[in-house]
Amino acid sequence: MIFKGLGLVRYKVALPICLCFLTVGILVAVYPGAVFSQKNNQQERSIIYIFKTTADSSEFWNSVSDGIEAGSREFGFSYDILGASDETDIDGNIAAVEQAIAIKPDVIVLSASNYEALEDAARHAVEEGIILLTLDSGVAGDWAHCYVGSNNYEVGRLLGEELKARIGDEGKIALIGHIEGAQSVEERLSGALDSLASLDARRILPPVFCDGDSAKAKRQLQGLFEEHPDISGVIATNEDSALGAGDAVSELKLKDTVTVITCDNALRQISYLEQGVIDATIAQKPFNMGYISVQTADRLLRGGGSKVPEFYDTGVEIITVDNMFTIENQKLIFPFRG
Amino acid sequence: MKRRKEYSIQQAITLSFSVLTLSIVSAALIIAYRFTIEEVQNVSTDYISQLISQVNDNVDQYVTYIEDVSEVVRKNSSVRKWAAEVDSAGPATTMVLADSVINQLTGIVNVRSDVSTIAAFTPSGSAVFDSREKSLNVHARYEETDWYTEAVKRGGDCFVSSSHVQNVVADRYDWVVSVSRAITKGSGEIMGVLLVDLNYSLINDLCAGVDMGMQGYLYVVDKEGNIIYHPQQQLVYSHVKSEVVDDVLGKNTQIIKSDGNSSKLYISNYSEVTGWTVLGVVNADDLIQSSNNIFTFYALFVLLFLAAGAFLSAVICQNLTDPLQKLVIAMEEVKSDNLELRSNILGNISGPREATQLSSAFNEMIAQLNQSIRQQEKAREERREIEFKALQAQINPHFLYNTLDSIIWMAENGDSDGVVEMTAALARLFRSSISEDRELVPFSVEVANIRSYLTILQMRYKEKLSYDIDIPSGLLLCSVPKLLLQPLVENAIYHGIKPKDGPGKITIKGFEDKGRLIIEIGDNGVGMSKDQLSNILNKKPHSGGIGISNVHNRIRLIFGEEYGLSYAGALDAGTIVRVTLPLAI
Repeated sequence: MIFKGLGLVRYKVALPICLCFLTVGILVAVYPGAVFSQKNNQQERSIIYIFKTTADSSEFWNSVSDGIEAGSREFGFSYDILGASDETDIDGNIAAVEQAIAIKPDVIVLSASNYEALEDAARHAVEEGIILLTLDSGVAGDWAHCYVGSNNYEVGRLLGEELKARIGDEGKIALIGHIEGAQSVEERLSGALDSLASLDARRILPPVFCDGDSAKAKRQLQGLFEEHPDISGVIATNEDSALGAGDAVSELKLKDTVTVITCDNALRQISYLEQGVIDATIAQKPFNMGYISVQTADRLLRGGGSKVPEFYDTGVEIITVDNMFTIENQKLIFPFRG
Repeated sequence: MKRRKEYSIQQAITLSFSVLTLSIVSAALIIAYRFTIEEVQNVSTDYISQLISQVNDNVDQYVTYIEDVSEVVRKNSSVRKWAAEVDSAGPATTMVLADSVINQLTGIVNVRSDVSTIAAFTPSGSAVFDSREKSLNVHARYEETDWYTEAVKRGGDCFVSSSHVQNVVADRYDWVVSVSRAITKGSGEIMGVLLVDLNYSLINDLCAGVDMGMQGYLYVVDKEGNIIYHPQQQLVYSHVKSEVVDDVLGKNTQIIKSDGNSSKLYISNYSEVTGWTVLGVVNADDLIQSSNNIFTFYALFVLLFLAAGAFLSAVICQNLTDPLQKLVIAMEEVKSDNLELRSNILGNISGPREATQLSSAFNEMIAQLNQSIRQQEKAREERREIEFKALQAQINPHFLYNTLDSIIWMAENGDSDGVVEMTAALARLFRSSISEDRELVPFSVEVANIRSYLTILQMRYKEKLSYDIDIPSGLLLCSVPKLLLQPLVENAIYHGIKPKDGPGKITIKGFEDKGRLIIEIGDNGVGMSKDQLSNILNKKPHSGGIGISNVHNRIRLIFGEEYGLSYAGALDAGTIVRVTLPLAI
């Protein structure tokens, strides 16, 4: 047995060794925390978001930010939001992407101001080994791992359907988009036009673009009303165009004769909805977009790439004055900021 | 090669000690662990239950307080006056009535950061708010809302709403909890409804600041299961997260829910006052994690103590078996006929008392063994010496040349017969003694020798000496030491008879007495004094003679202390020496 080997052990050697064991044991007893590692602190991962606009005024993008904040806290990310201050500044959008690539975050989430123009930047990001996601507006080429946002074509289709359901057989239809060339806009218009295809094509006016400026949208629509006083329906593809349209209709006191269908749910849109200026709005879920983008980034970084769909449809709801105060819709269209 | 595995004390003790320690400590570990786990879990859940209960109490208090505020407001005279008169009043009066209400309400709202809005409404559509900046949202059909209809229904009792967006104020859509109450006339008729909207600042303070530990959180739901407060309220509202509601609604209970990855413990506490349920959620996995930690801790403890114990037992064993092993080695040496035994062979043995006792006993035994060996050696030495001396004496020069003198004298005198007889006797005497190297000889040989001796002496002393030998023939076969009789007879003649005037006689008698052979040699010579008698056995022999003491010692050496010589007699009365021998053939 091994103890035969201990035949050399004398008191002077063995006793200190025993005491050592006992001391360690007692120390462990008294300071158990020293023994156990803390819950493993993941190194914080980083995401950079490229927004179409970093301007504070957009409620849509504020909600996206809230979602990002909630997601980042939950999944352990640090994040930054870059971008041009103007949705029309495509170069600024591209520059922001390049700036993000230089920082070398773990993930970049891009909302492209222009579907075509951002392709190079997107490819560059992926070549640098950064995971690329797109949010709200996609990018040409198949570079992104996942697109998080609404099904913009479907949004457009619903816009068209809602208008068709309310509008009579008479009157023209005006379409106001927010950024020409942005994928979200193009797809929505496409969806709307497809849906309206069953109507007389002469009724449909060519779309105008307000470049993200609601005042401009209002002027454009006022101009259209002057040109075509028989406009009976307006489709606005987003918050800015919607507010401009609402302002125009409200000012011209045309709410009873003109059906306005919009996308998004800024508070003033809601107010117009209550007043009857806007007849229906397609509410997106920007908070979810923000949160899901972080969740997806987390999944991709953990190597669950196969479980992540290429397109995460955050979904939309059709909000009218009748259903806007149901509990569910309240939760959707009024962001909770406790 | 051993058939059966032998084991040492060391192995046995160490093994059993280790097994015992291991089993005891393991048993203790398991008991302590289970106990600790249960305690930890119970303490955790108890703690959380208490927290939840406390939060619920706080919420109850808060709501009750707000209800009291609302009571104060609705009893306020300005408010009552407004409610009673505004519907029928003109614009100016309306303004005045409204202003007085606003003055009352502004104060309250300014002081309290948790009040979002206080307002009053009449069934006909008049409304007054806590500030002039707020106005009625004409599109909000408040008379259809819960807070209005319920307040009316309760006719004066408070209604506490769920969490909802308040659209009654133009251009504002705040998330609030509404506390509403009907404003009644004394008769109970309803004049209007008072609304107190609470924002989330205080509710947040009550709920969010509670530290549940272990990644726990709490949330509040109302009677229908709508969420009043949740730390991730927007996430829940967005349906990105869902929260357990149904199973815990309206009860005080604890349940565990698992969702594949993790399991959570839900503790609920229902309030009668508000109808709300407060829920505490703890990650049950954290409980398990901490229990894993506890187990690891205990196990580590066990291992350390086991190691220490085993080590200690090895040392103790060593201490026990060391002296024993030394003992074994020493005994092996003894076994191997090592005659060079050192006394105190084990040196200084330290250790338990039994070992030291054993080693001293062993030492004593060895010492005694040594002593007895030495004694035997000594005895053998003595015997050889005595034998040697006896042999020496046999060839006594005095006797020899006196006898030869006599032979020469007889030869000169022509006594050839005498020469022949004396020479023959001398030859017989010497032949016998020289040829004999045994210790014991048959008595017959001694008798023959003494006859030869006495024959010679008698021829020399003639009439002066006569002798008589009386020994039964049966005793002649006995064994006796050689050179037994001659010294005694010689002593009797030279010290007894020769100094005497006149003739002397030597008698030699032999007989058996109580199993012993007794030989008595008597003379009627000058005898010895008492002193001489007592000392004679000790006297050193005079030169050439071997002495009485030699014979005496030899007898005792060969046969034992109870045999030997004894002298008796007195001055001028002769001497008898008695030889006592065992009767041995």
